[in-house]
Amino acid sequence: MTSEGGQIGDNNGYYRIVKYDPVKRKEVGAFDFDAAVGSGVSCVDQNGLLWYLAGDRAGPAQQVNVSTADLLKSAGIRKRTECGGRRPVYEDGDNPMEYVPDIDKILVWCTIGRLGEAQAGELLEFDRSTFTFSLFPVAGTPAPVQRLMNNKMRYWPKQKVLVLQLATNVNARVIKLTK
Amino acid sequence: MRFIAMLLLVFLALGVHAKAEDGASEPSTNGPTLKGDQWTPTRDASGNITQAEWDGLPLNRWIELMDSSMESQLSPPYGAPAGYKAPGNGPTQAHYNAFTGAGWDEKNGRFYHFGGGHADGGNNMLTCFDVARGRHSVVMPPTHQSMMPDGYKVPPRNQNLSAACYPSGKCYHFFPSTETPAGDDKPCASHEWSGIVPASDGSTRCWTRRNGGLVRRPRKLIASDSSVAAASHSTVIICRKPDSST
Repeated sequence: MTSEGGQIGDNNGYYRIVKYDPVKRKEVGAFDFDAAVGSGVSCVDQNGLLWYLAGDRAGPAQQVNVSTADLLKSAGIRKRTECGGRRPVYEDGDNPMEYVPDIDKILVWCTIGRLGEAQAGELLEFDRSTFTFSLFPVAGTPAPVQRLMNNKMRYWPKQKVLVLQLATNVNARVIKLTK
Repeated sequence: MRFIAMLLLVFLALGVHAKAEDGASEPSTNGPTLKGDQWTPTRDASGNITQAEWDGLPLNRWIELMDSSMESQLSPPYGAPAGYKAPGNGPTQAHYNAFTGAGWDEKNGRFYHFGGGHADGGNNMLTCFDVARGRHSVVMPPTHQSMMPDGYKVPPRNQNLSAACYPSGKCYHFFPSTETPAGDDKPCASHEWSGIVPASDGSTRCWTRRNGGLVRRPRKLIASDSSVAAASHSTVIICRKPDSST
């Protein structure tokens, strides 16, 4: 299963997840998803659970919410639930996220930070049981922060690296996560 | 005899030492070729980064893959006919950053990019970044402006590069060969957010919006160009809303 990022700003928070058969070239199912108002990003974990993180408004007072959907059962599971810890700020296309099966973690690259919490350029871990963000330590020089990343941070299991595609004139970055 | 043997040993030792000092410029066989956090990896005969390079990368450290930016490898006209000029305010950079995600072929380690749109850029090429090689390629060249309707080509008046409107009054999200001037049936550049996915494993999913009719659904399938890389590319599906304004 591959994970698809999602990011839609200026919306009413109600979504429909559509299953599409690329061979038949048509939709083969759909279900509603009461997710979040505002911009967000998503990934899918090893259980087929879609995790959608989003901010509820612009600015420093923004609350970060998480919603989940079970893709295997075609059902929304968790509505908008407040997140805590070292939170980034969500705007259009910010904070790409990826589930990394080899370390069983959801990683988030912070592209907009906030006072006293996550800082731009930090790699974060999102805890799926406590719904909190915390620092995932990475040594060296962080990549230059780019806006509008959407899902351009992906994990390549074959070489166990996280790959970041940043901008057309910026070199790609990789982070080896396990041997 | 003993003296000659000693002399030989000295020569051998000096030779090994000289080779070791020169090792930084030689192909790596035992680990990554790093200069600080900058990585200029050794590649095999087929252009792939060697396994020893991948295996030797340090854990949990930012590594810059040198000479891997798109603009350092690809340049206009990106496979389009001579004289190509993309409409829009920032046509090249918009390929990545105009509210654009990327399709990710997890099995083969390839990003697929298709972007632009709104007023940002009218370059509708599809590119691929093959992580195994650290190389970009043009999978589908952009539509030449000679195939675009006049109104589409004139920024800043045209703030919607995602739709091509023709003198017939009809608007499309691609450049139809049925219109005049003859198009190439390629989709217009568009903000894609994360609505681009390779369909090789049959598990494609698209985000949609429930209210307001802004339903994202596949509008155009882009066939692959297997001549670009050693292995054939996946079919790439671009999901977009039918009344796209961006």
